[in-house]
Amino acid sequence: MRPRDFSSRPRRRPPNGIDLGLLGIGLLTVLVAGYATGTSWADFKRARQHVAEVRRETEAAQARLRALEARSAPTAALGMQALLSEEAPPPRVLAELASLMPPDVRIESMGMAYGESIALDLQVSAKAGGAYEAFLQRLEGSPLFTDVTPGDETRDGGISATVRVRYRGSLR
Amino acid sequence: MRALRSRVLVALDQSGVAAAAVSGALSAPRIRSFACAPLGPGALRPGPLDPNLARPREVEEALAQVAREVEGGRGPVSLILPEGVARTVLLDVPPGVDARDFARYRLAPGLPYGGEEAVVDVLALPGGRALASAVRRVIVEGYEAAAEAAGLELERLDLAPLAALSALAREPRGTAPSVDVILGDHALSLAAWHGDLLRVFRTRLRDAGAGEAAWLAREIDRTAAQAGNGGEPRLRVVGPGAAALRRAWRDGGRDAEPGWSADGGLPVDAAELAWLGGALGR
Repeated sequence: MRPRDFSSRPRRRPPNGIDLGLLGIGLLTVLVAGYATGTSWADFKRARQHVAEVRRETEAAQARLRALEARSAPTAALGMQALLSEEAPPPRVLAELASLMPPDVRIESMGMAYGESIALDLQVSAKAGGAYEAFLQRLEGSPLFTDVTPGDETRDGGISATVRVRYRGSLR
Repeated sequence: MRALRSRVLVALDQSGVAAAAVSGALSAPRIRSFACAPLGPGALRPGPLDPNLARPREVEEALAQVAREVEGGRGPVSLILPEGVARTVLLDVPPGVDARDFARYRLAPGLPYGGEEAVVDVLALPGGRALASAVRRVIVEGYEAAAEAAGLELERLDLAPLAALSALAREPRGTAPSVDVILGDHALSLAAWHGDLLRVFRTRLRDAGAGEAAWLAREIDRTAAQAGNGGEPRLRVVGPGAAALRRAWRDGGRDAEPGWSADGGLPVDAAELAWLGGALGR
Protein backbone atom coordinates (compact mmCIF):
# COMPACT_ATOMS: atom_id res chain seq x y z
CA MET A 1 0.00 0.00 0.00
CA ARG A 2 1.26 3.48 -0.86
CA PRO A 3 2.36 5.30 2.28
CA ARG A 4 0.39 8.41 3.13
CA ASP A 5 2.22 11.55 2.05
CA PHE A 6 1.20 15.20 2.24
CA SER A 7 4.29 16.47 0.45
CA SER A 8 3.69 19.36 -1.92
CA ARG A 9 5.65 17.55 -4.64
CA PRO A 10 6.41 13.89 -5.39
CA ARG A 11 9.36 12.50 -3.49
CA ARG A 12 11.63 9.58 -4.21
CA ARG A 13 10.90 7.08 -1.50
CA PRO A 14 13.51 4.62 -0.27
CA PRO A 15 13.04 1.00 -1.34
CA ASN A 16 10.91 -1.06 1.01
CA GLY A 17 10.88 -4.80 1.51
CA ILE A 18 8.59 -5.43 -1.44
CA ASP A 19 10.80 -3.29 -3.70
CA LEU A 20 13.90 -5.19 -2.61
CA GLY A 21 12.10 -8.49 -3.07
CA LEU A 22 11.04 -7.54 -6.60
CA LEU A 23 14.59 -6.37 -7.34
CA GLY A 24 15.89 -9.74 -6.16
CA ILE A 25 13.37 -11.57 -8.34
CA GLY A 26 14.37 -9.39 -11.28
CA LEU A 27 18.07 -10.13 -10.82
CA LEU A 28 17.34 -13.84 -10.46
CA THR A 29 15.27 -13.70 -13.65
CA VAL A 30 18.14 -12.01 -15.50
CA LEU A 31 20.56 -14.70 -14.28
CA VAL A 32 18.21 -17.53 -15.27
CA ALA A 33 17.56 -15.86 -18.65
CA GLY A 34 21.32 -15.48 -19.19
CA TYR A 35 21.92 -19.14 -18.37
CA ALA A 36 19.01 -20.18 -20.62
CA THR A 37 20.37 -18.02 -23.44
CA GLY A 38 23.82 -19.59 -23.12
CA THR A 39 22.34 -23.08 -23.12
CA SER A 40 20.10 -22.26 -26.09
CA TRP A 41 23.08 -20.88 -28.04
CA ALA A 42 25.00 -24.09 -27.48
CA ASP A 43 21.93 -26.10 -28.54
CA PHE A 44 21.61 -23.92 -31.64
CA LYS A 45 25.23 -24.52 -32.59
CA ARG A 46 24.82 -28.25 -32.10
CA ALA A 47 21.64 -28.23 -34.21
CA ARG A 48 23.34 -26.25 -36.97
CA GLN A 49 26.23 -28.72 -37.00
CA HIS A 50 23.76 -31.59 -37.21
CA VAL A 51 21.94 -29.93 -40.14
CA ALA A 52 25.24 -29.52 -41.98
CA GLU A 53 26.08 -33.19 -41.43
CA VAL A 54 22.65 -34.28 -42.66
CA ARG A 55 23.02 -32.04 -45.72
CA ARG A 56 26.42 -33.55 -46.53
CA GLU A 57 25.03 -37.06 -46.14
CA THR A 58 22.06 -36.17 -48.38
CA GLU A 59 24.31 -34.78 -51.09
CA ALA A 60 26.50 -37.88 -50.94
CA ALA A 61 23.42 -40.10 -51.18
CA GLN A 62 22.12 -38.12 -54.16
CA ALA A 63 25.48 -38.45 -55.87
CA ARG A 64 25.44 -42.20 -55.31
CA LEU A 65 21.90 -42.37 -56.65
CA ARG A 66 22.83 -40.45 -59.78
CA ALA A 67 25.75 -42.81 -60.38
CA LEU A 68 23.51 -45.84 -59.96
CA GLU A 69 20.90 -44.39 -62.31
CA ALA A 70 23.56 -43.72 -64.95
CA ARG A 71 24.77 -47.25 -64.68
CA SER A 72 21.26 -48.71 -64.95
CA ALA A 73 20.09 -46.62 -67.97
CA PRO A 74 21.30 -49.01 -70.81
CA THR A 75 19.77 -51.92 -68.98
CA ALA A 76 16.47 -50.07 -68.71
CA ALA A 77 16.54 -49.14 -72.40
CA LEU A 78 17.14 -52.73 -73.39
CA GLY A 79 14.31 -53.84 -71.16
CA MET A 80 11.94 -51.31 -72.72
CA GLN A 81 12.96 -52.35 -76.25
CA ALA A 82 12.24 -55.97 -75.46
CA LEU A 83 8.92 -55.06 -73.94
CA LEU A 84 7.90 -53.02 -77.02
CA SER A 85 8.89 -55.83 -79.34
CA GLU A 86 6.59 -58.08 -77.38
CA GLU A 87 3.69 -55.66 -76.98
CA ALA A 88 3.83 -53.93 -80.39
CA PRO A 89 4.96 -56.24 -83.17
CA PRO A 90 5.08 -54.72 -86.70
CA PRO A 91 1.80 -56.30 -87.88
CA ARG A 92 -0.06 -54.74 -85.01
CA VAL A 93 1.48 -51.34 -85.55
CA LEU A 94 0.73 -51.57 -89.23
CA ALA A 95 -2.88 -52.59 -88.55
CA GLU A 96 -3.45 -49.67 -86.18
CA LEU A 97 -1.88 -47.36 -88.72
CA ALA A 98 -4.07 -48.70 -91.51
CA SER A 99 -7.18 -48.10 -89.45
CA LEU A 100 -6.43 -44.36 -89.52
CA MET A 101 -5.89 -44.13 -93.25
CA PRO A 102 -8.52 -42.64 -95.58
CA PRO A 103 -9.31 -44.80 -98.69
CA ASP A 104 -7.23 -42.61 -100.99
CA VAL A 105 -4.07 -42.88 -98.92
CA ARG A 106 -1.64 -45.72 -99.04
CA ILE A 107 1.61 -46.60 -97.28
CA GLU A 108 4.38 -47.28 -99.73
CA SER A 109 6.99 -48.27 -97.16
CA MET A 110 7.51 -48.19 -93.42
CA GLY A 111 10.69 -48.25 -91.30
CA MET A 112 10.46 -49.14 -87.59
CA ALA A 113 13.12 -48.45 -84.98
CA TYR A 114 12.58 -50.00 -81.50
CA GLY A 115 14.05 -48.08 -78.56
CA GLU A 116 12.37 -46.51 -75.55
CA SER A 117 9.48 -46.06 -78.00
CA ILE A 118 8.88 -47.07 -81.64
CA ALA A 119 9.88 -44.54 -84.29
CA LEU A 120 8.15 -44.95 -87.61
CA ASP A 121 9.36 -43.55 -90.94
CA LEU A 122 6.50 -43.71 -93.41
CA GLN A 123 6.51 -43.22 -97.15
CA VAL A 124 2.93 -42.25 -97.98
CA SER A 125 1.13 -41.63 -101.23
CA ALA A 126 -2.28 -40.04 -101.64
CA LYS A 127 -4.48 -39.29 -104.61
CA ALA A 128 -5.40 -35.84 -103.36
CA GLY A 129 -4.06 -33.27 -100.92
CA GLY A 130 -7.26 -33.44 -98.83
CA ALA A 131 -6.88 -37.16 -98.20
CA TYR A 132 -3.25 -36.67 -97.08
CA GLU A 133 -4.23 -33.85 -94.72
CA ALA A 134 -7.02 -36.00 -93.30
CA PHE A 135 -4.50 -38.79 -92.63
CA LEU A 136 -2.19 -36.39 -90.81
CA GLN A 137 -5.08 -35.09 -88.68
CA ARG A 138 -6.14 -38.63 -87.77
CA LEU A 139 -2.57 -39.47 -86.80
CA GLU A 140 -2.32 -36.39 -84.60
CA GLY A 141 -5.70 -37.09 -83.04
CA SER A 142 -4.94 -40.73 -82.29
CA PRO A 143 -3.86 -41.60 -78.75
CA LEU A 144 -1.70 -44.40 -80.14
CA PHE A 145 0.65 -42.08 -82.00
CA THR A 146 2.59 -38.96 -81.06
CA ASP A 147 5.25 -36.59 -82.36
CA VAL A 148 3.79 -36.51 -85.89
CA THR A 149 6.33 -34.74 -88.14
CA PRO A 150 5.46 -34.36 -91.87
CA GLY A 151 8.56 -34.50 -94.07
CA ASP A 152 9.27 -33.94 -97.77
CA GLU A 153 6.33 -34.13 -100.05
CA THR A 154 5.92 -34.13 -103.83
CA ARG A 155 2.75 -32.98 -105.50
CA ASP A 156 2.29 -34.03 -109.15
CA GLY A 157 -1.41 -34.75 -109.49
CA GLY A 158 -1.13 -36.96 -106.40
CA ILE A 159 0.96 -36.57 -103.30
CA SER A 160 4.03 -38.51 -102.28
CA ALA A 161 5.34 -37.63 -98.83
CA THR A 162 7.37 -38.87 -95.88
CA VAL A 163 5.99 -38.77 -92.36
CA ARG A 164 7.86 -39.44 -89.15
CA VAL A 165 5.75 -40.50 -86.19
CA ARG A 166 6.25 -42.17 -82.80
CA TYR A 167 4.09 -45.12 -81.74
CA ARG A 168 3.02 -45.15 -78.12
CA GLY A 169 0.59 -47.99 -78.26
CA SER A 170 -0.70 -49.29 -74.94
CA LEU A 171 2.54 -48.33 -73.10
CA ARG A 172 1.70 -44.66 -72.86
CA MET B 1 5.92 -7.94 11.58
CA ARG B 2 6.83 -4.62 10.09
CA ALA B 3 10.22 -3.96 8.52
CA LEU B 4 12.78 -3.75 11.30
CA ARG B 5 14.72 -0.84 9.91
CA SER B 6 14.86 2.24 12.06
CA ARG B 7 12.31 4.91 11.18
CA VAL B 8 13.03 8.52 11.98
CA LEU B 9 10.18 10.90 12.69
CA VAL B 10 10.50 14.64 13.15
CA ALA B 11 7.42 16.39 14.52
CA LEU B 12 6.59 20.05 14.88
CA ASP B 13 4.03 21.71 17.10
CA GLN B 14 3.43 25.05 18.72
CA SER B 15 5.65 24.36 21.71
CA GLY B 16 8.62 22.77 19.98
CA VAL B 17 10.20 20.28 17.64
CA ALA B 18 10.90 16.66 18.54
CA ALA B 19 12.42 13.68 16.78
CA ALA B 20 12.66 9.97 17.47
CA ALA B 21 14.33 7.01 15.83
CA VAL B 22 12.12 3.97 16.32
CA SER B 23 12.93 0.36 15.54
CA GLY B 24 11.52 -3.05 16.29
CA ALA B 25 8.23 -4.73 15.54
CA LEU B 26 4.89 -2.99 15.92
CA SER B 27 4.04 -5.07 18.95
CA ALA B 28 7.25 -4.00 20.70
CA PRO B 29 8.54 -0.72 19.30
CA ARG B 30 11.81 0.52 20.69
CA ILE B 31 12.84 4.15 20.86
CA ARG B 32 16.49 4.11 19.83
CA SER B 33 17.01 7.81 20.09
CA PHE B 34 15.01 10.92 21.00
CA ALA B 35 15.64 14.66 20.83
CA CYS B 36 13.56 17.77 21.30
CA ALA B 37 14.02 21.51 21.06
CA PRO B 38 11.56 24.11 22.37
CA LEU B 39 10.17 26.97 20.31
CA GLY B 40 9.48 30.41 21.66
CA PRO B 41 5.84 31.50 21.95
CA GLY B 42 4.45 32.48 18.55
CA ALA B 43 7.30 31.07 16.46
CA LEU B 44 4.90 28.44 15.05
CA ARG B 45 1.13 28.89 14.96
CA PRO B 46 -0.68 25.79 13.63
CA GLY B 47 -3.60 26.80 11.42
CA PRO B 48 -5.34 25.76 8.19
CA LEU B 49 -5.19 29.00 6.18
CA ASP B 50 -2.01 31.03 6.49
CA PRO B 51 1.65 29.96 6.61
CA ASN B 52 2.29 28.62 10.09
CA LEU B 53 5.90 29.63 10.60
CA ALA B 54 5.88 33.15 11.98
CA ARG B 55 9.62 32.97 12.70
CA PRO B 56 11.03 30.45 10.20
CA ARG B 57 14.66 30.89 11.31
CA GLU B 58 13.81 29.83 14.83
CA VAL B 59 11.97 26.77 13.58
CA GLU B 60 14.85 25.89 11.24
CA GLU B 61 17.32 26.07 14.10
CA ALA B 62 15.15 23.82 16.26
CA LEU B 63 14.84 21.33 13.38
CA ALA B 64 18.60 21.40 12.79
CA GLN B 65 19.22 20.81 16.49
CA VAL B 66 17.01 17.70 16.71
CA ALA B 67 18.41 16.42 13.41
CA ARG B 68 21.92 16.63 14.88
CA GLU B 69 20.95 14.96 18.12
CA VAL B 70 18.72 12.11 17.00
CA GLU B 71 20.18 9.00 15.40
CA GLY B 72 19.68 9.17 11.62
CA GLY B 73 18.21 12.66 11.92
CA ARG B 74 19.59 13.92 8.62
CA GLY B 75 17.27 11.62 6.75
CA PRO B 76 15.40 10.18 5.21
CA VAL B 77 12.84 11.31 7.77
CA SER B 78 9.08 11.54 8.04
CA LEU B 79 8.03 15.06 8.90
CA ILE B 80 4.89 15.19 11.03
CA LEU B 81 2.78 18.34 10.87
CA PRO B 82 0.78 19.32 13.95
CA GLU B 83 -2.89 19.15 14.85
CA GLY B 84 -4.91 22.01 13.45
CA VAL B 85 -3.37 22.45 10.00
CA ALA B 86 -5.80 20.29 8.05
CA ARG B 87 -9.47 19.99 7.30
CA THR B 88 -10.37 16.36 7.95
CA VAL B 89 -13.55 14.46 7.12
CA LEU B 90 -14.70 10.87 7.48
CA LEU B 91 -15.78 9.33 4.18
CA ASP B 92 -17.48 6.16 3.00
CA VAL B 93 -15.46 5.33 -0.08
CA PRO B 94 -17.48 3.57 -2.81
CA PRO B 95 -16.07 0.19 -3.82
CA GLY B 96 -13.64 0.32 -6.73
CA VAL B 97 -12.97 4.05 -6.33
CA ASP B 98 -9.54 5.42 -5.50
CA ALA B 99 -9.86 6.81 -1.97
CA ARG B 100 -7.49 9.71 -2.58
CA ASP B 101 -9.34 10.83 -5.71
CA PHE B 102 -12.68 10.47 -3.95
CA ALA B 103 -11.38 12.49 -1.00
CA ARG B 104 -10.24 15.29 -3.28
CA TYR B 105 -13.65 15.28 -4.97
CA ARG B 106 -15.51 15.44 -1.66
CA LEU B 107 -13.21 17.88 0.16
CA ALA B 108 -12.59 20.48 -2.54
CA PRO B 109 -16.04 22.18 -2.51
CA GLY B 110 -15.92 22.77 1.26
CA LEU B 111 -12.45 24.29 1.49
CA PRO B 112 -12.02 28.02 2.16
CA TYR B 113 -9.42 28.08 -0.62
CA GLY B 114 -9.26 26.67 -4.14
CA GLY B 115 -9.25 22.93 -4.49
CA GLU B 116 -6.08 23.10 -6.58
CA GLU B 117 -4.31 24.58 -3.56
CA ALA B 118 -5.05 21.51 -1.43
CA VAL B 119 -2.71 18.61 -0.75
CA VAL B 120 -5.01 15.66 -0.03
CA ASP B 121 -4.38 12.19 1.33
CA VAL B 122 -6.26 9.58 3.31
CA LEU B 123 -6.02 7.09 6.14
CA ALA B 124 -7.83 3.92 5.04
CA LEU B 125 -10.02 2.48 7.79
CA PRO B 126 -11.96 -0.75 8.29
CA GLY B 127 -15.43 -1.00 6.77
CA GLY B 128 -14.57 0.80 3.53
CA ARG B 129 -14.16 4.10 5.31
CA ALA B 130 -11.34 6.62 5.06
CA LEU B 131 -10.28 9.64 6.99
CA ALA B 132 -9.42 12.29 4.41
CA SER B 133 -7.38 15.40 5.13
CA ALA B 134 -6.63 18.46 3.04
CA VAL B 135 -3.78 20.81 3.85
CA ARG B 136 -3.25 24.08 2.02
CA ARG B 137 -0.20 23.80 -0.20
CA VAL B 138 1.35 27.07 0.99
CA ILE B 139 1.34 25.71 4.54
CA VAL B 140 3.00 22.44 3.50
CA GLU B 141 5.61 24.34 1.52
CA GLY B 142 6.45 26.46 4.58
CA TYR B 143 7.20 23.36 6.65
CA GLU B 144 9.12 21.73 3.80
CA ALA B 145 11.24 24.83 3.27
CA ALA B 146 12.15 25.02 6.96
CA ALA B 147 13.06 21.31 7.10
CA GLU B 148 15.19 21.51 3.97
CA ALA B 149 16.90 24.65 5.19
CA ALA B 150 17.72 22.72 8.36
CA GLY B 151 19.39 20.02 6.25
CA LEU B 152 16.76 17.31 6.61
CA GLU B 153 16.15 14.85 3.82
CA LEU B 154 12.40 14.40 3.74
CA GLU B 155 10.95 11.03 2.88
CA ARG B 156 7.31 12.02 3.35
CA LEU B 157 5.01 14.33 5.26
CA ASP B 158 2.24 13.16 7.54
CA LEU B 159 -0.27 14.74 9.90
CA ALA B 160 -0.11 14.08 13.63
CA PRO B 161 -3.79 13.08 14.01
CA LEU B 162 -3.67 10.65 11.08
CA ALA B 163 -0.35 9.23 12.25
CA ALA B 164 -1.78 8.68 15.72
CA LEU B 165 -5.06 7.22 14.51
CA SER B 166 -3.25 4.87 12.14
CA ALA B 167 -1.61 3.27 15.17
CA LEU B 168 -4.71 3.39 17.38
CA ALA B 169 -6.85 1.82 14.65
CA ARG B 170 -4.64 -1.26 14.60
CA GLU B 171 -5.82 -2.54 17.95
CA PRO B 172 -8.84 -4.85 17.74
CA ARG B 173 -11.73 -3.31 19.71
CA GLY B 174 -14.32 -6.05 19.69
CA THR B 175 -17.84 -4.63 19.77
CA ALA B 176 -17.31 -2.10 22.56
CA PRO B 177 -17.78 1.63 21.87
CA SER B 178 -14.63 3.67 22.34
CA VAL B 179 -13.32 7.19 21.90
CA ASP B 180 -9.72 8.08 21.03
CA VAL B 181 -8.48 11.54 22.02
CA ILE B 182 -5.52 12.82 20.01
CA LEU B 183 -4.02 15.94 21.54
CA GLY B 184 -1.88 18.61 19.96
CA ASP B 185 -0.51 21.80 21.45
CA HIS B 186 -3.09 23.94 19.67
CA ALA B 187 -5.91 21.57 18.68
CA LEU B 188 -7.20 18.08 19.33
CA SER B 189 -9.13 15.36 17.53
CA LEU B 190 -11.83 13.01 18.82
CA ALA B 191 -12.49 9.69 17.12
CA ALA B 192 -15.56 7.72 18.21
CA TRP B 193 -15.62 4.04 17.31
CA HIS B 194 -18.28 1.38 17.47
CA GLY B 195 -16.39 -1.84 17.38
CA ASP B 196 -13.89 -1.54 14.55
CA LEU B 197 -15.97 1.04 12.70
CA LEU B 198 -15.05 4.69 13.06
CA ARG B 199 -18.37 6.54 13.38
CA VAL B 200 -17.41 10.17 14.11
CA PHE B 201 -14.26 12.23 13.80
CA ARG B 202 -14.14 15.78 15.17
CA THR B 203 -11.44 18.40 15.53
CA ARG B 204 -11.54 21.10 18.22
CA LEU B 205 -9.25 23.92 19.26
CA ARG B 206 -7.69 23.10 22.57
CA ASP B 207 -8.89 24.88 25.71
CA ALA B 208 -5.84 24.34 27.91
CA GLY B 209 -6.35 25.41 31.46
CA ALA B 210 -7.74 24.29 34.76
CA GLY B 211 -11.10 23.36 33.31
CA GLU B 212 -9.80 21.46 30.29
CA ALA B 213 -10.37 17.97 31.75
CA ALA B 214 -14.04 18.68 32.46
CA TRP B 215 -14.59 20.46 29.12
CA LEU B 216 -12.93 17.65 27.22
CA ALA B 217 -14.93 15.01 29.11
CA ARG B 218 -18.13 16.72 27.91
CA GLU B 219 -16.77 16.85 24.35
CA ILE B 220 -15.98 13.15 24.57
CA ASP B 221 -19.50 12.32 25.73
CA ARG B 222 -20.98 14.55 23.02
CA THR B 223 -18.87 12.81 20.38
CA ALA B 224 -19.82 9.38 21.70
CA ALA B 225 -23.49 10.36 21.63
CA GLN B 226 -23.13 11.58 18.03
CA ALA B 227 -21.68 8.19 17.19
CA GLY B 228 -24.70 6.49 18.72
CA ASN B 229 -22.72 4.92 21.49
CA GLY B 230 -24.75 4.36 24.63
CA GLY B 231 -23.04 4.39 28.01
CA GLU B 232 -19.54 5.43 28.88
CA PRO B 233 -17.09 4.51 26.10
CA ARG B 234 -13.64 3.11 26.53
CA LEU B 235 -11.23 6.05 26.42
CA ARG B 236 -7.69 6.26 25.09
CA VAL B 237 -5.56 9.41 25.01
CA VAL B 238 -2.33 10.38 23.26
CA GLY B 239 -0.55 13.69 22.86
CA PRO B 240 0.88 16.44 25.03
CA GLY B 241 -0.92 16.58 28.36
CA ALA B 242 -2.38 13.09 28.05
CA ALA B 243 -0.99 11.92 31.38
CA ALA B 244 -2.35 14.97 33.27
CA LEU B 245 -5.78 14.54 31.70
CA ARG B 246 -5.85 10.85 32.59
CA ARG B 247 -5.02 11.71 36.20
CA ALA B 248 -7.71 14.38 36.30
CA TRP B 249 -10.33 12.03 34.85
CA ARG B 250 -9.28 9.25 37.22
CA ASP B 251 -9.74 11.63 40.12
CA GLY B 252 -13.22 12.30 38.76
CA GLY B 253 -13.96 8.58 38.59
CA ARG B 254 -13.36 8.08 34.89
CA ASP B 255 -10.77 5.70 33.49
CA ALA B 256 -8.67 6.45 30.42
CA GLU B 257 -5.81 4.47 28.93
CA PRO B 258 -2.65 5.67 27.25
CA GLY B 259 -2.82 5.07 23.49
CA TRP B 260 0.46 3.16 23.49
CA SER B 261 3.72 2.54 25.22
CA ALA B 262 7.24 1.96 23.96
CA ASP B 263 10.53 0.59 25.20
CA GLY B 264 13.68 2.65 25.18
CA GLY B 265 14.98 5.83 26.62
CA LEU B 266 12.26 8.45 26.43
CA PRO B 267 12.32 11.40 28.80
CA VAL B 268 8.50 11.49 28.62
CA ASP B 269 5.67 8.97 28.55
CA ALA B 270 5.40 7.60 24.96
CA ALA B 271 1.67 8.38 24.99
CA GLU B 272 2.56 12.09 25.33
CA LEU B 273 3.84 11.95 21.75
CA ALA B 274 0.84 11.65 19.44
CA TRP B 275 3.07 11.79 16.37
CA LEU B 276 4.86 8.62 17.51
CA GLY B 277 1.94 6.78 15.92
CA GLY B 278 3.65 7.54 12.62
CA ALA B 279 6.20 4.87 13.51
CA LEU B 280 3.67 2.46 14.92
CA GLY B 281 0.79 2.62 12.45
CA ARG B 282 0.31 2.43 8.70
